[in-house]
Amino acid sequence: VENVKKTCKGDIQMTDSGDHDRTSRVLDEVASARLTRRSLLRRSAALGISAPVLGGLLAACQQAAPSGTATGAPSAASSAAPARGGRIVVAMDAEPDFMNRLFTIRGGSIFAYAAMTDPMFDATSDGTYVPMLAADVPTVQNGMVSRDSLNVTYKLKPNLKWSDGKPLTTDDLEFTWKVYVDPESDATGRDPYRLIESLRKVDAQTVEVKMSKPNTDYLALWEILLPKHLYESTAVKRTHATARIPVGAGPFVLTDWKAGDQMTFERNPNYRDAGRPYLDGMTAKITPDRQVMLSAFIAGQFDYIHYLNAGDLATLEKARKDGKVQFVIDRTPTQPEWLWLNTSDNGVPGKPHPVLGDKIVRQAMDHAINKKAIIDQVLEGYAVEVGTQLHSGWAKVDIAPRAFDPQKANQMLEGAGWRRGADGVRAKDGVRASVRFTISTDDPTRSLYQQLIQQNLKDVGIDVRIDNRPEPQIFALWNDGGMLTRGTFELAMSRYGGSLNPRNSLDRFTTALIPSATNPGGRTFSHWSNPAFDAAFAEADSTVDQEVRKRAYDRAARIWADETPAIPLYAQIRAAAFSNKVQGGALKFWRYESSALFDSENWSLRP
Amino acid sequence: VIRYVAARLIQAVPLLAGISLVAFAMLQMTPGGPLSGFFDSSQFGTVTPDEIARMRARYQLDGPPWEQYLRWLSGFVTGDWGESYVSARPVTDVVLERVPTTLLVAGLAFLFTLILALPIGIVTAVKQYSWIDYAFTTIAFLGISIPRFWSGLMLLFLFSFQLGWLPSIGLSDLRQTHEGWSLVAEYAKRLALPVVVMTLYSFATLTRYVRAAMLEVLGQDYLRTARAKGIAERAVVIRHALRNGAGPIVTILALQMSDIFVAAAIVESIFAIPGTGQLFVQSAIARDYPVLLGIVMLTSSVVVVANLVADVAYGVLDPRIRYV
Repeated sequence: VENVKKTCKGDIQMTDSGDHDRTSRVLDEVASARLTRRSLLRRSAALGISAPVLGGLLAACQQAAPSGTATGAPSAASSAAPARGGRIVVAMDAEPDFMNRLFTIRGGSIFAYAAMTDPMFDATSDGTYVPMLAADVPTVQNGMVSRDSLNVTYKLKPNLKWSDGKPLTTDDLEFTWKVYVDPESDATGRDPYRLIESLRKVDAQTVEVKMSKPNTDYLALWEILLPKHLYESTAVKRTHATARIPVGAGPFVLTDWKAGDQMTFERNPNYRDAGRPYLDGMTAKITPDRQVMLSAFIAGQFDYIHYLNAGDLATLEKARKDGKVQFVIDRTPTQPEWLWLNTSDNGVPGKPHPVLGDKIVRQAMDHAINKKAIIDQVLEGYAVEVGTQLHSGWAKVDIAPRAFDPQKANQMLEGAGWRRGADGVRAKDGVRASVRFTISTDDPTRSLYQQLIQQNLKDVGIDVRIDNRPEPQIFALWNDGGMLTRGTFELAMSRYGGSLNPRNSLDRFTTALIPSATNPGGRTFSHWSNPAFDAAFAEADSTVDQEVRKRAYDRAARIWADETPAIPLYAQIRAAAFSNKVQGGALKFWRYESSALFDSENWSLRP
Repeated sequence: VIRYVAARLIQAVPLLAGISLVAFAMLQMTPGGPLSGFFDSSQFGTVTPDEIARMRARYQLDGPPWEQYLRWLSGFVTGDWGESYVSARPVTDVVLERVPTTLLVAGLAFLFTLILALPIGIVTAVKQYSWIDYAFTTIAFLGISIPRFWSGLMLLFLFSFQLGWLPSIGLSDLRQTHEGWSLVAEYAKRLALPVVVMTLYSFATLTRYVRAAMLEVLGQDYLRTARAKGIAERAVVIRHALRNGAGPIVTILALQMSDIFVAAAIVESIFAIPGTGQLFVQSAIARDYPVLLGIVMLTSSVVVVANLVADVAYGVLDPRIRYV
């Protein structure tokens, strides 16, 4: 049980459809020997303990875990082995564009990814990797990764099969890599694959991969696999039949898709775990109106909601108290909501912003904003404060959020020479501390705390002018004149981070990712450039050795926290809701973009 | 008449071309550009200028806007409406597979509107200022003033969530699970609320127009003459008054066609009905411009045709009208 306690920080995705950052790769390092969760999973499998029992332990331990005060009904676990059979109905508020994650990273495809595809690796909530299709997790310690991090051996479990019954082998691994790097294919998320220099098939289960440089995303490779036997060439287009109806090796198979209406999933007869999934199948029903979806769920017409929004949680908690649904939450922070501070003057490199270019102003703003009020008043308590983007996982850094202290903020600004004028707004060297604040015109929740922030900053003598714009204008690429990419905004908000690979929670602060004509997809929205931070980031990027990386990330995170190129307003927490019919539903894996569906092979119907 | 219809159809061509031009221009002017849906910088990894160029070529977004428009137009005329940005399927497939559903829901609503609005409009006109008139006037004003998204939600909460009589979950293809009468019954259960919501509003509007049109006609001298000839009151109202009052009613019906598409967008989203209205809303959110254009063109064509039908109907109702 001690082990369980240590490891339980569940997961499950909760997102706002707006600008949820879904890219973050699932990935990362292993070297650390803290395999408690993994060994727990293995040992229990060996003992024949059913997964729902485990799920129950894990859910129960949420109450014990220091950081996770679960208020939810712990996921139903009874001592009896779950019965096989039965179907559930899942609610989904938007139709997926594709069901194949090769082509899309939008929300709906996650459903397919979770239910129909098993990745090579996954990670439990403390950041520990577990092999899924892989036989083992390659590390330097077990000799599967070379000392220089460049050579990695991947091993598949024996006798794996695609859902159509054909064997899943290293031919498919090789083919998938080639699709990802074929410029003629429509693949998205190519970055980790671009680092593969060569791949040698040793046998049907083993490949040796040579990277052109250390690939910290090496465990995010083959998150999805393509069955080679279904394609003629590596130039796989979005028009291919498998874009809509993919063939995977996950617990369920998509058998029917009625556009705009529903999708039908059946049990994968060739699933690698012969006893699972317990359910015969699932029906995913597209219900565009969120209010209707929630009410129908509470009325018992759905068994699970794919993606919860922050606004749903209070309603679901009430329904749980009334005994109508199961609702599990886990207060481990996930993806932070950022207040981006544009440190550049209109995106001109090397030219600091007259107000936000001053580090003291940025720190004072962090002290001036009452984040607890945002969490309590706007988000009804369903979020947590964080002081760094590395707030959890294996590279967790202990940096507390700056305290809400307007007096201190005033002193800091005063000390830095920002003096109050007759209108109460501070100025220094003839520059008024006045900035524009831009969010989407169609974002009612954010606009609530936008006003709170405006008031908070006014109290310390910083004038905020609200200048909201249509969402595409804010988030467009550099070519299309996006305000964040061009650096023409001053304050803005979006979500980012919460990635398993700390790299992907820090990269948006590197100089290399400052958007420009040659880097139109760049994402360093703060337009912030700090050589010491870049150096620490690069050091962590030069190896896959977890200990070395952890130290380098720690350094980077501390430089970042002092400089404050952006303010983390809060971090989302995880939640999942099930009908009372379902048992075994748990918050299990890390993936912030995930849903409890990643575990759907363990769900069953209550007898 | 055939020549007239042909001439009107030819006139419709520049009209539709104009509509397409305006719609195309509006989408062009949308901030962010059509590609931002693909490369949303809040979502994606590294994007190279190369990839953007390839994407532009792939979706024929290269070249000046007028060139893009002409390319789209020539494709549209030849039945190639482009490829959906979102699902990479031909727009014709994406749009046309939704049409039967919308026709079913909107057609039923239209039918019930006629069945209810005509007799009630006539009765309230004949019995002006009676209690029946007051009762239906009240209902009509309620119907007009309650927005459909609200009445839809309220009916859903009452019948589906509170009472549990009707399912809220959309209009699936039920032919796999039901047949014969049980299929009809299941469809009826699922269609009941959306059709009621759509009917309530259009009925309320139409019944007021029928009443007004009838009142105008009922006061005319020739009806007094007809009554004086000893024709039964019922025949006076139906054959003489209604026929003469029908002109404006037909006009209103034709104009309501466009309203039906608005209603479909709202009602289909609330009741999770996979029709064109829901598709339009989702495509707008996802910035799927080719699909949006396809739906705009389709609905514009329907409205144009409906107006043509109305014009032809005038002639049938009133032989004095000549088509030139």
